[in-house]
Amino acid sequence: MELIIWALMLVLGGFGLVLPTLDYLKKTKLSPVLSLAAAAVATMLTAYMIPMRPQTLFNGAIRVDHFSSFLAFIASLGAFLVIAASLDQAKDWTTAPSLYSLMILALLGVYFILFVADATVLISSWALVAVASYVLVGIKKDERSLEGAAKYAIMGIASSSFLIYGLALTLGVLGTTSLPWPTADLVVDWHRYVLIVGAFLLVASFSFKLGVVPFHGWLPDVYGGVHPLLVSYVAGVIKLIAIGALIRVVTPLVPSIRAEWVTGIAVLSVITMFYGNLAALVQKNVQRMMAYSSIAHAGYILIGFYALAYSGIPYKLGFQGIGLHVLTYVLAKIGIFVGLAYFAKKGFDLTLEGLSGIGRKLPVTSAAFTILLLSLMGMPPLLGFWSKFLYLFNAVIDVAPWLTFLGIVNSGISVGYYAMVLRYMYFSEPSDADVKEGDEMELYVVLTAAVLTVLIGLGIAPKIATIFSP
Amino acid sequence: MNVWAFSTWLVPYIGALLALLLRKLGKVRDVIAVLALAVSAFSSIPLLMEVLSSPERVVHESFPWIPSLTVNVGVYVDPLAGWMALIVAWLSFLIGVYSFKYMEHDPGLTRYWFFFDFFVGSMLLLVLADNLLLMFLGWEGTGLASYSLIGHWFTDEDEKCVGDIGRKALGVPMWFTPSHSGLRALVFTRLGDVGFILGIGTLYYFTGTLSIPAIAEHVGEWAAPLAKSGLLFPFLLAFSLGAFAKSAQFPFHEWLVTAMTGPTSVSALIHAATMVKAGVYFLLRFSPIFMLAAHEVEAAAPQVHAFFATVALIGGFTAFFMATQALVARELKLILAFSTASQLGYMFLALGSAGLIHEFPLGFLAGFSHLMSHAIFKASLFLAAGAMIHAVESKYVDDMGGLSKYMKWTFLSMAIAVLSLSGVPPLMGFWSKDTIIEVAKESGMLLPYLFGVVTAALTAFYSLRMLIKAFLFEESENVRHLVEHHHLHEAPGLMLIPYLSLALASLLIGVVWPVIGPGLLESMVNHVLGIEEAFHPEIHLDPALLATSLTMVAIGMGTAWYLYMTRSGLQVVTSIQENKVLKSLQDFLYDRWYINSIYYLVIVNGFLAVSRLGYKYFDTLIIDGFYHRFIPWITERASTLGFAKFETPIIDETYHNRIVKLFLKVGSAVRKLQTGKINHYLLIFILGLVLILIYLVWV
Repeated sequence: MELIIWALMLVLGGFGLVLPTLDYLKKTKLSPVLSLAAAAVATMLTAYMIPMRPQTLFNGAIRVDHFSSFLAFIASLGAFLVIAASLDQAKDWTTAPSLYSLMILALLGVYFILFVADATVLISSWALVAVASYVLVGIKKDERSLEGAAKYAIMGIASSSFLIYGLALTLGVLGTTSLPWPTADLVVDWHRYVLIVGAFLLVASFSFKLGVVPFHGWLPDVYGGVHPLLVSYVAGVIKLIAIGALIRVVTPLVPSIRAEWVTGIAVLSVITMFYGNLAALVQKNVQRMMAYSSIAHAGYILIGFYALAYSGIPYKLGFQGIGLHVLTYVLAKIGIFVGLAYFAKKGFDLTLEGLSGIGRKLPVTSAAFTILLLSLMGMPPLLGFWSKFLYLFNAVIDVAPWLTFLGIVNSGISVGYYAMVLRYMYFSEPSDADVKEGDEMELYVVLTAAVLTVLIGLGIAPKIATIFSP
Repeated sequence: MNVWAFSTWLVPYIGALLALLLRKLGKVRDVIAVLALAVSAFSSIPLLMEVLSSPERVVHESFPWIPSLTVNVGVYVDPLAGWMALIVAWLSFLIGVYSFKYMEHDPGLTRYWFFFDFFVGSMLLLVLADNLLLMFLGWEGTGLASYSLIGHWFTDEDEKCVGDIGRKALGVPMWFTPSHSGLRALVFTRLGDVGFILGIGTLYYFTGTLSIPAIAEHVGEWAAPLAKSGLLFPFLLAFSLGAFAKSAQFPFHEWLVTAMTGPTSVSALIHAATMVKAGVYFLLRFSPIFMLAAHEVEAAAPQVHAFFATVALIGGFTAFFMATQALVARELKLILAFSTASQLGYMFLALGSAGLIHEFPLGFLAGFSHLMSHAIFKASLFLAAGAMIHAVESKYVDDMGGLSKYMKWTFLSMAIAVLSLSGVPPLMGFWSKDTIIEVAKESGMLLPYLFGVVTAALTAFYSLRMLIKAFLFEESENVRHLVEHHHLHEAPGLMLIPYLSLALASLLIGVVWPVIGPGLLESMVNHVLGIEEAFHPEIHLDPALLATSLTMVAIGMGTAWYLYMTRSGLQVVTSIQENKVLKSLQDFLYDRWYINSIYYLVIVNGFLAVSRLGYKYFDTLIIDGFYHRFIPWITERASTLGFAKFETPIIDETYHNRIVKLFLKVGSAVRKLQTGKINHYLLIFILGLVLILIYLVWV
């Protein structure tokens, strides 16, 4: 196992550091292909790690278990897809070598957060990913990207300080930096309050990345304004650190603060779902609409975290639901944002009107795009139906039926805007522009995401869930 | 493993896939798609035979799919499912043959066949499924296919729209493009589906299973706790909400009207013969189980009765309400659409009454047999209508007239189907409608019964009016023009045979009904899931009831004949146009009781306004309000407070000027620094966190 981690560090870290230097100095164009190869190797290695026995490595600095390596696999797969799409997308960008280097370096940082077993490792890898992602967002260097990057960075700094403060408080109570924290039944009196504050500071800083209201401010501007290709990386890969960190760092604290956890998470989940869905309903720009849909999906995932406060079936379904919904989300959002980047490249405006009749012009991409939208909507039998209805909503049906109810109501609301996109794509008169689908990477990326969504939806989903569940 | 049980619903799915794969092959693709339907139709016969010949009268096959959630892929075919599958598969096949000709030369044929076969597969899956999840899969599949086929002619040319272009009611446009109609269908039926999902979740919560037979077997497990807490009635309503929406019952009826923008073959299959019956099928499937609940759990009985009464009332009202709209409709397909929703209302009326009368199976059979007879004659009517619209190149009945001379066979077929729809003996429609009125009378609820009786007259009127206007009336300008240019022909054989044979079936079955009826009905009801006692149906005619319903039919048909076939009647029609009160009544009916306008004004606009408002409110009022009002205010309060306590110039200066200015300065500085409103974002971030922490720690 340690060997695999070394290999990952070498492949991703080594290439990440060397490639841009080489490309800038020698004027070669090695980075795209080699980064893609590195991501492919990483995907295979992480897939290989999923069934392996959980182990603690590097003197207790990291710990690899089924779930974390499953998330690492999704992250690598996501990175692979985005890099593949950028082969065509970012061909002419002057900053391309840095882009690839940042992508694979950030991926390495993502692994360390997912595998984290010590608070100190968390801080350093968090910094690595955070800084890389701020730069990544602004790498296109147009005005809107820079604006998004600046907002992201400033809010990121705030959230990172909460992270450190939260860690400090939690450490103070529990007296150790090693993760998972010891189950602290002994926490009493005001220690408990300190722990609550610490835990929710951590929740705040992690859910900042996830886009949970009220920590979401940056998200619509970044997801809605920055080049969609870059968004697909932030949404599909970087976001996993929030899930990983919440599972690793925060959920071990839940038994000590159960009552407060349940209330706090429920409040966050409900306002996030409603805010995301209602705001998406009034958007005219599809990219911005998808940004708000991301917020709504963060709310759905929090329902899974709500279930983690219980034992037995809710815990199991909640845990599996989080994993599966992350998969749904990553496949769908990478596909959708890459698809949007493709549409933009073909000269379409990313507003509802702008996408009129695109189903006629780019039939294959649009069909795949539609499948991904339907998956987010929760249409059976696609993956999104399983993860959302049968795992996440089902997990809390015994302990909090009202939360299931609110989730379903929100799914109902969300149909409104997804259907609106479909309506414009298929049932509107196309423009006269003469565009054709070609043999381009973006098309294959969107198609892959859609095919996986369908295949996994046809009954493989529960099998996958049993692989990574505890 | 039972091959027939699976091939019946799986083969159409395969056909859909093949249609997609063979999209380059033109005619071959179409033939394959129809062949898949034929296989399904021919498998449904041995399946039904097997069900009826097995001792338990059921074929149940199940394979584990998701063990952890105890979900199976399985079929549960009792007589109800078997008969229903037979009807669906055969109608689909016949309409498939018809559309082979009808849709010829359409540019979107791959899409058409894909969704057509996909629809048939989903519909059969929903009928045969042995668990709620699979049923829901089929349910959603039919919806999906329906939306895309409604919007098949997405280019939205004027002649593909429903409604008169330019007409408005209460300021809301009353014409609908295909793409708009597709969206409406999706939103309306999805509203109902939210209730359906909630119902499935509730059942799973109480029983831990999704299997339909198991839910019937452990009826007490879910009915008892729900009944005790008084939630059984709301649960039943929510669970059936999807059925109400799918079968276009009031207040969900609007989507079906505008669904007529789809190709006529689609209207015939999906929006008349099969999919809209899914709601009725749902009630047929579950109402016996609800009855079991009422028997086994004492506390449940009143709530179950309340539910059935609601169903009867809504069904009766829908029957009446939609029939009134058909009276004045001018578009051939719209008349048929109104009539479909109205007849669906009859079926709901039958099933609702079934739960209120002594012999539940009688009401069950009334609903079920009317479902079958309606499926047959309405499919025939729609297909014939498609041929007529095609022939005269107009969707308005006013542009027809005198067609009996030019389309003899179509006239014959339409006449039979119209008589069946009107309930003229001895056609099939007469028998089934008569039983419905009988059970409605027995139910003891006056209002639904009255609705049922009056609707019989209305139905006879609008059906005959349609027939006269299209075939017997003097030739319209349009028809004369077409005849001059030799454009008016009888429909080709491939189109004619399906609807003629359906019309003849409706006649023949009706004629021999007193002989074969009892045996047929018995095979349809005994051993159906949830119906435990054997029932021996017989065909009998209550003289008083017969007189009532025949009088109603006579009144309706007589009025239509008088108004449109006699000179004095025509003068009456003209005078209606001139009379202000009657004209406004006509407009009221023509604009569908203004319900569509009300929906748009209140719900659609209202919802948009609410979400816009919420968005604005959150963005400007809360944030800006907090930033520009609350903080200065609190600073001021603090400074006055401070002033009272420490009355020194320095503190005064600090409070009054420096802090306020500092806030403002920082505010404006940050504002100038940032291109957007990141200060607001951070403010929400921190405030949100602080609020949550305060709440968690101190409350």
